[in-house]
Amino acid sequence: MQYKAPLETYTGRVKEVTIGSGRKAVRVGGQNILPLHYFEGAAANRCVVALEVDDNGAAGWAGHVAGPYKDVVHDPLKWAKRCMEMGADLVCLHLEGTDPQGANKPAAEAAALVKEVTGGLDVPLVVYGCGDDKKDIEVLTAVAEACKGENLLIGPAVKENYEAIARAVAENGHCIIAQTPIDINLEKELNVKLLKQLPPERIVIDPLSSALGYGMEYSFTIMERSRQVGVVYGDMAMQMPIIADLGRECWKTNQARADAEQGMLWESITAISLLLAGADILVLRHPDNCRLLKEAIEGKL
Amino acid sequence: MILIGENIHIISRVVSEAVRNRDAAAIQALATAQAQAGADYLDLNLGPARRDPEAVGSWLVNTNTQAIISVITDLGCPPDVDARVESIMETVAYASGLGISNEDIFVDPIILPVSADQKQVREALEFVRILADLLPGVRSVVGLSNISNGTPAHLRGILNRTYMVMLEKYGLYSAIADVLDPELVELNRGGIKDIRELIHGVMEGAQVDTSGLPEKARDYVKTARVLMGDALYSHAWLES
Repeated sequence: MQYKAPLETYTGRVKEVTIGSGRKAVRVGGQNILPLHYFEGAAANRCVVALEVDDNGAAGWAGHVAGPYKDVVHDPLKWAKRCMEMGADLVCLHLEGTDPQGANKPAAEAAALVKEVTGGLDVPLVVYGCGDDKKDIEVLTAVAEACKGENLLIGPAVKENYEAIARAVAENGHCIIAQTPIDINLEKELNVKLLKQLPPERIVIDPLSSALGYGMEYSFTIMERSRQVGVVYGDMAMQMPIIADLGRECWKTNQARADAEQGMLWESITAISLLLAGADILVLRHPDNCRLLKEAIEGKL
Repeated sequence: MILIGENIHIISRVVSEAVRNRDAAAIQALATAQAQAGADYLDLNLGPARRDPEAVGSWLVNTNTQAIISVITDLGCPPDVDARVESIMETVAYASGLGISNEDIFVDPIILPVSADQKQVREALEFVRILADLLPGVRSVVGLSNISNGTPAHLRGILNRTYMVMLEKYGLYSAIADVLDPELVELNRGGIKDIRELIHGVMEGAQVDTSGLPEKARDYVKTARVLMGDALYSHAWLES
């Protein structure tokens, strides 16, 4: 008698979200399986890897992770192109320089920069504001308007500012990042609220990614449960792809700053773990880890 | 189910001020309001007492009163039904050794907030369901409003009311509850039959079609589904 593996099938399916427009569009989500369980069903898209760029000259980056970009860190477009050449599926631009506690660059300047970068790239762009919920409304609205129709992935939209950001995203044809502080109930609440302004195909969940040794297991659990609730239990408010913005968290640990090899391990182990937990988009800093994770996703490791 | 008014509680600002100022009228007003609203008994929660089980236990026997025994142990609240059972069997055996009979014991399964630990909601419910078989003769009591602790204030009532109907179906004897909520008192008296039946339907696993229901009935169905663990809780559970 031939052995037949006992396979599970699930009622829920993660929504497919398209980021970027035209020929450079990348699709994420669309699977009705648990993370990497390709043997269980259909995964319309595999996970993707983004590399991070900032508008602040890589201020605060340890030399060994800024190294591959050291000649271009003051030119975000060239930096983004370098990421693309090094194999990134997407580029993730952090508008660190708009932080009122830091360089406090005006919204218009940030919007012009995003427009320049997206115009010069052949891969889609993810744009994160600085995380100040008031300034982010201003900056991300200006970005959404300046790049109308580019279908960027824009965030973070949080409890305090989601309405304004979702409005700008909806009116200008982009996707939104819904960010909550490692709490599955707050995550669902924000999704429910956002679904009144945007279809699920335009929402990506950011449950916050903590680094190895700094609470990664909490992020892991939330991502894992989000996927179970969405796919296994069919909860419509939990069926969006997940972004794990983990590179910055890993490279700011003392361990990663102190030693290059340790830093590489810190980022790759965190990334592999969150990939297993259910992340659809991994945001990294080091190009070698980008290659490594892409191999892992393709099953070559 | 017997309702015990919860509103004279030391955590309340009105009560703590009244106690501090020895303002009997303020406490009496709260007592009267609860009695008029339909409370069978009143809970006077004036803060923690000393911990000395043997002395308290002996005193209970001597003065012919009854005891509330909760499932909490030195390790905290038991995580599931089995651990609750283990804890209560041990404590009731201890009480029995002191001469307290099952008929003089109220068991408190400990209700935890749905917003903090959704899984515990179902565990406490299951515990209430098996209690009569486990310890014949004991009665039960819960601090009902804890189910909605942490939930935005305007949404607490429907959680309290729905969970009360669910616990009652499984044989709960009494609840310390917000008796100033008229809908809660009415439901406890067997009123609003259609709502009670909808909640029971969800508990029995019926696929309730909510499309034709009025908003209030739909809200009760959604709430029962969350409390049964069929849907993930969020503060926006009535909006999806």
